[in-house]
Amino acid sequence: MSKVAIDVPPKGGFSFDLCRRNEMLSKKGVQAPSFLKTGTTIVGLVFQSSAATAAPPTLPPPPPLPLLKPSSASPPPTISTKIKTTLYFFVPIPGAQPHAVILDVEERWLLRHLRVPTRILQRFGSKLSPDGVILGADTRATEGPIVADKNCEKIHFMAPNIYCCGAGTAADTEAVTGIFNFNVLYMVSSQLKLHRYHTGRESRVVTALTLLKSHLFSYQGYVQAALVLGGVDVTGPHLHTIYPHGSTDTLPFVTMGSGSLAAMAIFESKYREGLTRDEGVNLVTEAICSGIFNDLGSGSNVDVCVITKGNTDYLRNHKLPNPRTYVNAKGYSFTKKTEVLLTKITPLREKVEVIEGGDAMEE
Amino acid sequence: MGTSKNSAYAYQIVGGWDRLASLNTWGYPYVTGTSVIGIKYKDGILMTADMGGSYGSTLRYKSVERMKPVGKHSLLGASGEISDFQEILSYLDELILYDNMWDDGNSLGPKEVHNYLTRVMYNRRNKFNPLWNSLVLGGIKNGQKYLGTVNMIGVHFEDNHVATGFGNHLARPILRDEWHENLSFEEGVKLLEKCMRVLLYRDRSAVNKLQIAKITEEGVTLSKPYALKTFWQFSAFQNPTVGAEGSW
Repeated sequence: MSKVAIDVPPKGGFSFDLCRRNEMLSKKGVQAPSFLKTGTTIVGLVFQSSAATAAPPTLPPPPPLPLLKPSSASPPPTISTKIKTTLYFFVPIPGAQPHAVILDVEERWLLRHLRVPTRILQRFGSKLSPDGVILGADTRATEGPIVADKNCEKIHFMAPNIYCCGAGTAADTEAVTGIFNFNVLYMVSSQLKLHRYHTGRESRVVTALTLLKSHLFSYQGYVQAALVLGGVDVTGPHLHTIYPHGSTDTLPFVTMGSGSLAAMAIFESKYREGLTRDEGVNLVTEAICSGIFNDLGSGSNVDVCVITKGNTDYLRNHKLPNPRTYVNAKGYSFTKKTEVLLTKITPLREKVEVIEGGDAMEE
Repeated sequence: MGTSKNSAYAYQIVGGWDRLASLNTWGYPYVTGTSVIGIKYKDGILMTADMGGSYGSTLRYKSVERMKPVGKHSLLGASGEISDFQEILSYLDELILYDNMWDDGNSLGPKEVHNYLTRVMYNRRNKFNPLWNSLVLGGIKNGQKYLGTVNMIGVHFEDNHVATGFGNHLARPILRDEWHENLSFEEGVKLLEKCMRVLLYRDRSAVNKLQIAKITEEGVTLSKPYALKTFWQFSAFQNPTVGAEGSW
C-alpha cells in the first residue's frame, strides 16, 4: 500500500477508503457484518366492550333474525336525546339480497344481535364502555445469537393517540440501519406533528398508515420494518399491520415478528368480541408471554400500550416474567476505600452567570 | 430447485442428477401431509391429524389417513411425504411380522418401534436419501405410556406432547400452557381440537377434516373423520375499513 501519510483535512461526505479492503475480504470469504435484527413478538388487539356482542368464537353463528322486526320485549338504552343517525349496513340474512337500511338509535338497539361493526355503536354512545386499541411487545433485541439489549423499547410514539410497534431491523437502535429505520418512525412522527399544526386537528391513524406505507414501498422492501400501527382517532379505534414492502392489513387482532405464530396461537384460541380493557390487556400479555417463552428471538419483559379515546397508557414493563434468579441478598459491597481526609463541597452554580434574555448564539 | 429447504442437499441438485430426482430419492417431497399432534392423557395417548394430502400448493387428496396402528401397542402418525410414510408402514409391517413369528409371547412396544424408526430415519439421512417425514409414535405397554417423535434428519425425543410441522409453532405454545398430567379423555380431545382449530385458521395446507386416534391398553381407536366448527363472524371482518377509508 502507499507509504505516504499525508495529513489531509477530512472532506465531507462518505469516505470510500475501505471499499477496496472490504471487497478483497469478501472475495476471501469474510462475511460482512449483518444488520442488527430483532427477533420479536409484537401484537395488537382492538377491544370493544359492548355487552351485546360478546360471543365465544367456537359457537355456531346465531340463527338469522327476521329482517327489521324488532323484538318488543327489550327496552331501549337510556340515551336522553333521540339521535337520528344515518347508518348504512348490510343485514346478513342468508339468501337475501344485501341492501342498505337506515335505522335510528332505538331500532339499532333492538337489533343489537345482528353482527355489525361495533364502531358504529361507538358513534352514538359514550355510554357504552370505552373501547380502543391495545399494543404489546417483548423487549429483546438480538444480534445474531446474542441478546444485544435485554430491555429495549419496541412501542414507539407516533402521535399522542397513535403508537407503533416495530419488528425486523426497525426495532434496534445500535446499528446504522437501525437508526436509518428509526428515521422512518421519527420522520412520520414529525410529519404528523406538522400536519397537526397545519390542520389544527388530532392525527388520524390512516394518515400515519399512508405515510408509512408509501415510504416503505418507495424503498421496495430494503427498509426492513414490519410494523403494527394502532391508535384511536375521531373515527374510532384502528389497528393495522404494515409489511416491509409496503402492504397493509386492517384487522381486529394482529401479530408480527418471529414470535408471531406463538402469539397468534393464543389470539386465535382466546380472542372474542366484547373484551373489556382488562381482559384485553391480559390477553395481550398472555400472547407476548407465549412469544417470549416459545420463541428464541423474543424474551425478557412485556410492554403494553393501551390507547383509548383521549387517553393513552404506556405500561412499560407491564410484566417481568424473567427476573434474575440468583441475587445476592447482601448486595455488593465495595472493597475498603482510601481514607477520606477532608470533604469540601463547592456548588458550581455560583461560578456561572446566567444572563436572562441574552443574545442568541451566533453561528 | 435448490431452495432453502434443499440447501442441505444442494450439491446433488447442482450436479444435475435429474434421473435420480425422478425416483424421489434425495429430491423434495411431492404429496405432503401437514401437522400431527400427540398428547399423553390419563389412559394412554391421543393423537390427531387432518386428512389432507397436498400436491405442492394444490389440496389434491382429502381422505388420506395419516395415522395407523402398529402392532398391538403403538400408533404412528406422519407428516411429510405420503409415499415415504407408506414405505415406512411396509417396513414396520415386516418388523412386526418377524416379531410375531417368534411366537414367544412378547411383542414390540412403542419404545422399541420408536427406536427402530429412529435408526431407519437416521441411516437414510446419512446416505443422503432421507424419508421425508416427521413421525409421531405413541403407545402404551404394561401401563407405561410413551410418546415420541422422529424427523427426517433423525432428531428424536420423547415428551408429554409433541407436534410436527406447523404444529410446532402454533400448537406447542398452547400445549405448553394447558397440558397437565391426567387429562381426561374429553379434556384431551378439547385441547387437541383447540390446537387443530388454530392450525386450520393459520396453516395454509390444513383441511377441515380430521381424525382423532386414541391408544389405550385395550387397543387403538381411530375416530371417523369429522370437521371442526369455525367462527368467522367477527364484526371487524364484516366491515374492516369503516372509518379508515383508503386502507384495506
